[in-house]
Amino acid sequence: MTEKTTEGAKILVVDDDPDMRDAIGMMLEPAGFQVIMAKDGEEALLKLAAERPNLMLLDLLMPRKDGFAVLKELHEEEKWRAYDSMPIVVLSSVREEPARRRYHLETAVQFAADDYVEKPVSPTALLQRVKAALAKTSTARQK
Amino acid sequence: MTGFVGHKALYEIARAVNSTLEVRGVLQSIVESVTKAVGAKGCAVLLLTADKGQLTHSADYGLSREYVQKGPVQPTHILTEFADGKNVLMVDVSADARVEYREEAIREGIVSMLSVPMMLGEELVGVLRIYASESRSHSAEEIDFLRAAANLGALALDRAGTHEAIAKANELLIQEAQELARLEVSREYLHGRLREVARELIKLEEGRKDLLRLVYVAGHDLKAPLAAVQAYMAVVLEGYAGEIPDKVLKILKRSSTRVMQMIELISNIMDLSRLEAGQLMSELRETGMESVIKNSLEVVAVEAQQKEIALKKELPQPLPNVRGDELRLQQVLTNLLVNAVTYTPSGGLVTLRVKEKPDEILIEVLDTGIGIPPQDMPHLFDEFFRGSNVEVPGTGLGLAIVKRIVEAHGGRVWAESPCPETGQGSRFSFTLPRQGQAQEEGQQ
Repeated sequence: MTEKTTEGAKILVVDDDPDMRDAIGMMLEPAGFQVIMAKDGEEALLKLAAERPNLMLLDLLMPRKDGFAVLKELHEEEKWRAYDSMPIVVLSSVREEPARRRYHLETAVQFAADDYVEKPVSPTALLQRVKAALAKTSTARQK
Repeated sequence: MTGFVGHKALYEIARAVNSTLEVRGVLQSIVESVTKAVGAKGCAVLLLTADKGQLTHSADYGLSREYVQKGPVQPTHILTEFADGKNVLMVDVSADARVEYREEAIREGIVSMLSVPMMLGEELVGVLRIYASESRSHSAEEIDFLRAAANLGALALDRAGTHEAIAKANELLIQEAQELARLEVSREYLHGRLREVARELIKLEEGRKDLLRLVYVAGHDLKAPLAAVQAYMAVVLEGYAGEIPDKVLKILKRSSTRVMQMIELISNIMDLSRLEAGQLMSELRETGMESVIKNSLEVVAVEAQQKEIALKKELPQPLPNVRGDELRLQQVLTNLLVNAVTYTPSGGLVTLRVKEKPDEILIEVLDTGIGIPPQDMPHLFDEFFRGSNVEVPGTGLGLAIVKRIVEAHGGRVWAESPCPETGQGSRFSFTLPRQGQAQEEGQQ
């Protein structure tokens, strides 16, 4: 059932480290996902509009526009309303709790990620979390 | 004629009393004016001592130094006669029994002496004495003048006394004011110094925070390439890059373990820097122990099972709440449990115990492991300390972080080895204030 709902899903991987993007691609592509990449927050928003991915895998600390700013813009700006149902999985080496606290302090809104995966990451664990996030939203949409 | 002279003299005396507050000058002007006004040989003011036991020369005119210095005069008979409202007149000094210093008086050429009281209101303060070189008497007019002069002298003495008191008070006030000014200067100086010290401290604190921030940022930058390397290795190790020979797999596994250790070390250093900067902990709030214990046990469950180590729980029901940061408490308990399982050989026992005490919660982790050599005990919670009997790799930061987190909760942490209950392994204990008590302690 999970395989069926997530197969062929398009995933936007946002990370400033090219090797990390590459390795994540190697983990996701064999599982049948279509992977697109962005090297920072600005590129991520461009790709988001152009590619309409089913899920975004988002790093937090990046140059130019970081992951916090991406989450903030998606939350605040009207033009991104169509993406409200798109699951966002944060993949960062920043510990989850301080990241959530910092975001809450800076924006006064709750951190809107669907899941939070701390680096280092293993393929098995990452695939499991990505599939779970996709399954949750597709179930929600069916309701 | 005498009256005229007397009035003129009185006028001068009164002027002296008013114009100068220096008592000696006033008395001197009195004896001089009196001598001249009544045409006497000399005149003296003898003041009564405080105990009224003696009369002493205070000012004189027309008398020799020897005579004046003859000694104090007994006032007894004078006081008695004054009390009767009389003046004391001795018309022939050589024949008068009341004369105390007869020889001195004769040698001085004194024949008669008249003493009039110096009264300040009802109080006798001294005697104005007029000396003559012939036997003489005094007119009523003269006596009135002498009494007035004597009383003016008494008034001058009184004013001088008051003035002296005022002068003294003034002097004290001036001293006080100067002292206050000095204190004010010192106070300003101290305030200035305090401000400087405070600024210095703020600068130091900012420097320390900058350094801690630098450690944190550097830690993150160190971690990023390692995380990428580790991700690649995980891709290969989990078979996403195709079949690989066993030998390569083994090498990669070892490499991956080392990379993971390094990531762990950097994470710990970052945790320490954030603990030092006061940023790792979130606000302490009422926290249930349930999930802290469950999640911590989950972390060690697999390894314990592999090593056939029994995990025993001794928990009160229901579990008490504590004031804390759930994630950090989990970090503490996980660290202690991982250590216990790591340093306990196969077939051993690790016990997790929670005890409720009247004012705190006691959490203990007991093991039947290799224990801690006595010489290591004092350094157990130091940064980068590694036990002298351990072979398992570690960062030497775990217990240092444990200690900081527990102390940030207002608790204590300590270790005993061998465990006092079993005589083997070790027992790690930490306390947490009961819910509602951490705040009070924090205020002390």
